[in-house]
Amino acid sequence: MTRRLGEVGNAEGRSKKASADTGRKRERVESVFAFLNELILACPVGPDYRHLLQIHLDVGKEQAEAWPEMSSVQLPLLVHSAITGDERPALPVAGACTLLYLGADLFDSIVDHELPPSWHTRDSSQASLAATTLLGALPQRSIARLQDRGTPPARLWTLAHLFSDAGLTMGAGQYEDLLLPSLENVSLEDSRATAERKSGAEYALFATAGAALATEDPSTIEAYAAFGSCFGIAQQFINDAKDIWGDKRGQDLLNGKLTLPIVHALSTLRGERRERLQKLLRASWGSTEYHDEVRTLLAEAGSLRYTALIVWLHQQQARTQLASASPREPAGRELYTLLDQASILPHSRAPQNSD
Amino acid sequence: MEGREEIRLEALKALTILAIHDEQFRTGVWDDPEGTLTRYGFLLNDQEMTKVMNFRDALADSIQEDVVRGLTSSHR
Repeated sequence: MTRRLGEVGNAEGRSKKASADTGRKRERVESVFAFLNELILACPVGPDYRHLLQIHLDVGKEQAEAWPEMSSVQLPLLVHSAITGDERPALPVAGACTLLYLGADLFDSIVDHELPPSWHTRDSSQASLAATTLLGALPQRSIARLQDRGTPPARLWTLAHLFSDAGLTMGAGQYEDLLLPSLENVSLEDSRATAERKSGAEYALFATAGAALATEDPSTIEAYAAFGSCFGIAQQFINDAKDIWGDKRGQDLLNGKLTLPIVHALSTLRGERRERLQKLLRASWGSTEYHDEVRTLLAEAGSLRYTALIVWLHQQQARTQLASASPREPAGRELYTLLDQASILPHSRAPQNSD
Repeated sequence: MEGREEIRLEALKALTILAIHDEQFRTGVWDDPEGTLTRYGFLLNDQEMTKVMNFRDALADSIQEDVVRGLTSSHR
């Protein structure tokens, strides 16, 4: 009986904690987007160009309100708090990370022909210009705000380097992603390496930027970098699976992208089945007619199950890296919770890890 | 509920490498996880093996439709 009462108490406690955590996530979203809105308003450019930059800021805000777990907002603030106990000093860092995320997101949307409705009345060259500015100019202006808050120049320089290095690695990853469909044979390692350079580098930056502002201890910074990298890789493969089986239903197939589940199926199926899949993939470019048959062959190859395994292995690596950094509470608990959500299993079925 | 005891990083990295590069391992780890891990020289402790088996069971219990339903909730 005592155990039963304890379980109810724990469940209620977890529910209250979850509700409080959601409230804090939403507050962070509000703070970061209000900061970015003010940052763009203060830019020394004309009103038309300022408006162009604000279009995707509004798109991002809508995304974050629907999904407050947005990593570019949460990770830098939570990691800073996990090290120092205070997340507020990291607001300009979260702003810079979110600008980088929005630039990369806009660039992806251009490449994948998936621009959101607010861009439909504009030429795609205007979207390209906004993406370039979001990626290349605005993060530095956000980081420069730290100077007004007394951050030492050496630490600002470290942050500038981090953003530069991450941008370079993400660019290389994006380039590989563009090239993959034209390659004759793509291996599972190619897929993993591309995800590491693209999403792994992005999430590593989100975590490392928060850590580098908080501490100079290299082992702590490295642990958070590794945590972010594994988290980002897991998230990329979740998105790959979601694109095929989830609510987006096949945009990657339409664009001829060789994502991990596809590469796995091509590596697993033999003979006629493999040839059939290759034909269907070619026919799927620009048409949804054959997508269900592609999904059937992927199921036959066990590709969703395999993707779930690779996601889980990276999620577990991220947990181990996070544990090694000994995060302070309550930020540590929130980081573990974010990570637990990076799973292909329905949440009711996923083994629960967070306290 | 599992606590925050984690699987050793070296084991996770080795498992990931095998899952990426070794087709026999990929097949064996579903059909006979404990036997396959032993054959490949893994000495997981009880807690680590429990985590592996819990994941494997959770995935096996999820028919594809359930997994797909889980994917429709937003992930970013």
